Amino acid sequence: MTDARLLAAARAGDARAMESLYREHSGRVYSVVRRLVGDDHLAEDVSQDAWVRAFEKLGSFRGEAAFGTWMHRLAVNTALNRLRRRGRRPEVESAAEPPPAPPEPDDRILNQRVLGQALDRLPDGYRRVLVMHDVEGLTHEEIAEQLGVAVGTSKSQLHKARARMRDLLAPNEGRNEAGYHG
Amino acid sequence: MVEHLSRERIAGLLDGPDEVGPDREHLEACEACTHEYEQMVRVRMALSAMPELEPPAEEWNRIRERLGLDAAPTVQRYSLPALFTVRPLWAAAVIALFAAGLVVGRQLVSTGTAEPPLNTAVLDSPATDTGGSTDATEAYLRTVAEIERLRSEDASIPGAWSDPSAATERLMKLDALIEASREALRTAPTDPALNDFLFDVVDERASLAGKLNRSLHYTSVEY
Repeated sequence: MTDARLLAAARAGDARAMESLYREHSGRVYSVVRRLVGDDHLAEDVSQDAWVRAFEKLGSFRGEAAFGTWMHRLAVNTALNRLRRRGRRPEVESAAEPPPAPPEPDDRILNQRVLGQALDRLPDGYRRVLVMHDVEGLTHEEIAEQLGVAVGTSKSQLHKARARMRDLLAPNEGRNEAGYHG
Repeated sequence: MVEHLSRERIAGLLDGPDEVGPDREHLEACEACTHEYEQMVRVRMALSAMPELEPPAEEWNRIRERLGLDAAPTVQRYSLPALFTVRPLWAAAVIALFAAGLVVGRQLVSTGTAEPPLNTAVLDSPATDTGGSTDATEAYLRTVAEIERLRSEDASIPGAWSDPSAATERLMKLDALIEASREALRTAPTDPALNDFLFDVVDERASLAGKLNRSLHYTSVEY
């Protein structure tokens, strides 16, 4: 059944239609939420909240964009709001958790698990911009709008986040010490 | 002492040709910074290719409870029982209904009855009232029989959700089912049950193809 038919049924309160919409889009929603918040338990809460909000306000979805696009944006907003409420976290690298065990040398296979662990260890501000730009493919203009910051701030945060990712993945190749342009 | 670019400054160079200036000139002349740049490109490519994650297994039940929805039979898009037991039984019922309706319809058409019952509305296609109606009916019955034959073979493909070769075989079966359904719809383009059946088969195919693609992609990305 198409999204349009499912939406009509879901608006009428059809639980099976709601579940079908959920099954169709839950993977993408959970993925972006999990990567934005960097924590399994928080991601479960946020993902649930996003879906509950979506079904409660389904009547306001006017179909100008695809349901998947609307749902993705709603999930991103829900995750960003939760991160704002959580406030600033300390630098995650200083926490007790072990480093992501970066593989060496450079001609290695980058395991997705290692990449995910490095993402989780980024500070919230870095991670959200990196996920939105490099994982989800949003433009700096879109990121700036969603975060309420200047485009230049989005770019600056992205560059810092990429550098920090490299620090986490290849700490033995440090380049930010003396002798390097900062 | 050679001064290299910091990772942050190299990261800025990933954003394309707009970012020009002395940093890019240095990059083009410095082997160490070029190496670092290439590593960052690989990280970025790996990030853009990160696979979709599976949501928690109980997530839908929790959402349903929070919304106060009654427990409905679960839509199990990715589960074996849904694929090999629920859907075939449902499909068999639909097909049996079609076949019964068509048999009645053929009799009514052949005796010149003007008002066919609901299930024979499909025979109002262009062939109605001409000698072609029998041909259309027979073609439709052949495609319905083909759907039934393909459907009955579905149950003999074990492990389609865990074994890539079985999944590929299943995809081919679904393709054949889709083709047969479309053929039937040429005779019965407005039949709601047949349309729903086609939608379901297409959905199943998309789900299986997506799952197969993710399972093949998930292991690692070259870096």
